[in-house]
Amino acid sequence: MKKRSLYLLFQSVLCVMICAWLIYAAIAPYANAKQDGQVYTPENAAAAFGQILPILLLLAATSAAGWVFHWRQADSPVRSSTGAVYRAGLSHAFAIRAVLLVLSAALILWGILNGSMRDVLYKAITICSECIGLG
Amino acid sequence: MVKATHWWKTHRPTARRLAQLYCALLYNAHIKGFLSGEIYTGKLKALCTPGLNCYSCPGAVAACPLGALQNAISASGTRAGTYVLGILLLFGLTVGRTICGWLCPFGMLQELVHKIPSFKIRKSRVTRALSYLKYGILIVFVIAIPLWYGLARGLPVPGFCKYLCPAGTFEGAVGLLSSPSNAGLFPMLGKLFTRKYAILILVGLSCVFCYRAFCRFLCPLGAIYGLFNGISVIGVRTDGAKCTQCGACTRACPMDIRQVGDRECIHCGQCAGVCGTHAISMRCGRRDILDTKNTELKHALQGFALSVLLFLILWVNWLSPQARTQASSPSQAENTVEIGCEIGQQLPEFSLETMNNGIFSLSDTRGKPVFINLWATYCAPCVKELPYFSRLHSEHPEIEVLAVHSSLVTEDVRAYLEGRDWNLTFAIDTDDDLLYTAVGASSVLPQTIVLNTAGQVIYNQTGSVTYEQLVRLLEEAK
Repeated sequence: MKKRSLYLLFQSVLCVMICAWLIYAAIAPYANAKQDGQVYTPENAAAAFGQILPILLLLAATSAAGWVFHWRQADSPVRSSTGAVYRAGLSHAFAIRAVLLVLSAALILWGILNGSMRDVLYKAITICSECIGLG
Repeated sequence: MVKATHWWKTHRPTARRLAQLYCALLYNAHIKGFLSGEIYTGKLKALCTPGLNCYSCPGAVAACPLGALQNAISASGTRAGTYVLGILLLFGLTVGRTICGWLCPFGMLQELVHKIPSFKIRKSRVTRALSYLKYGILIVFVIAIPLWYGLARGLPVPGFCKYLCPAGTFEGAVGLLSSPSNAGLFPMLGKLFTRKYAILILVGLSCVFCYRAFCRFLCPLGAIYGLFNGISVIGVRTDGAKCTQCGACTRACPMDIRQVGDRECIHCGQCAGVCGTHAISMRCGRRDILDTKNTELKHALQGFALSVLLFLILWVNWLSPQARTQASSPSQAENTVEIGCEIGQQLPEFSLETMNNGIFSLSDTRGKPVFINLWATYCAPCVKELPYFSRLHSEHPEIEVLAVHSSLVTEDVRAYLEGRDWNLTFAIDTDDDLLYTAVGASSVLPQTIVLNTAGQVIYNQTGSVTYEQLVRLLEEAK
């Protein structure tokens, strides 16, 4: 096996290992969940990331070494399964843009007047815990 | 030294990378938030960023267009979300998917992750077919789920944010949890977090092997902007007179394009470098915007962009009214031992006008367990847990239960409650957030505060609660 292939295989395995560990670290706390239902604590989060840190550093170091020692060749050209087709410029593009520009300005203005801009603000300054996956 | 100079010449950031970095900083200029764990609450958040950037990120200074769109769709029964539609139309018309290639921080993150040396998955018919998946996600998670929950059940459920969005998990959830001051959020983490976290990790892993996997296969915002690619003012254009149809551009493109500038093109401009006849260029209307020979104009634009960024950082962190209020307000550590909102402390006295025109005074509740719930009509978990409080109050009429709506009211709360048979005392907080300040409310909803018969705080936690939890808390409060 060529040096480059070995190197890329090693890197790929490291990436998969890191991700597998990160997912395992998220599932493992369920086994030791407290009686009050609390699964995650700052302590177990810190412990999980502390354990993964050496592998992350190894990945960073091997990536840097790959760049320095040119183990990683330039990306191979990407084959396309499709032929190249080129489009001519849109006729009436200017007219379409102008109409849509006026429409977007009208919608924004209407939104400011009907309060939907304020809705955006209120939602954005309040964190909905469920919406970002906190629970 | 010569080697170092050569390395810098070949590795220095491209104009596109600088633009991506600039946008990442511009959208997340609230640097103080990363340290304090508090989100920015200024009026700038009424504006939407062009790219995907979660507004629950502690650094975010503007709203995410996709989150805003889902909320507008879920609220379409009460108000037409024309503002968000207008914003998306404007962005699509002017820049199209150039946003994905140049102005999206999450796109930049994916490109950086893809730089990790490993085996790479090449584009093929399979990836091309997968690129249609994002349109399905747009229809199901961004339109159908919020519309169904909003109209049929009166619940604001942003489907994509809740079930899929890795940007929300990374910037919002992980961003908030990484601040030590938000350690109180950990108890609310559960299966939803595990699922979203696993999605984030899998998306990250797929981006190592596959160029911009999230953008190409999953991102509904890219799907929306892709619809405008044919008419957007700024974008990559092909000069038909110069083009020899050699196909070098589509072969070199890492995205699933059939032709330069089609719905999958993110206008990154890589194809311009491989075109032997220089038929491809980045254009604004008829003007080539990257190959400008007017260096004075270029420098002036760079100076202007830098000034805007510096001013924004200064404004949102130190000069805006919100920043000055946060700086001058006393921290929780400065509270006296007896009065406060921490566990074991006595909540400060307050009186609030209820929605049935009565007065709720904390001093009148001494000797009774008191449950205070902070909620809002636009917060789905809040609305879902209110029936639990209602049931608790019905089964234990001796307790006091006060549900206080945020002072940020987007619809008629009284009309909202009319169709719901909830046995609770409802109130809307005063404009100066009297109660929310008294209980130390954060920006996270819902929040539940429980006082025992002596008026001491025994529970003050953000996040949803179950009925069983409430019963346990009641036993503790008695």
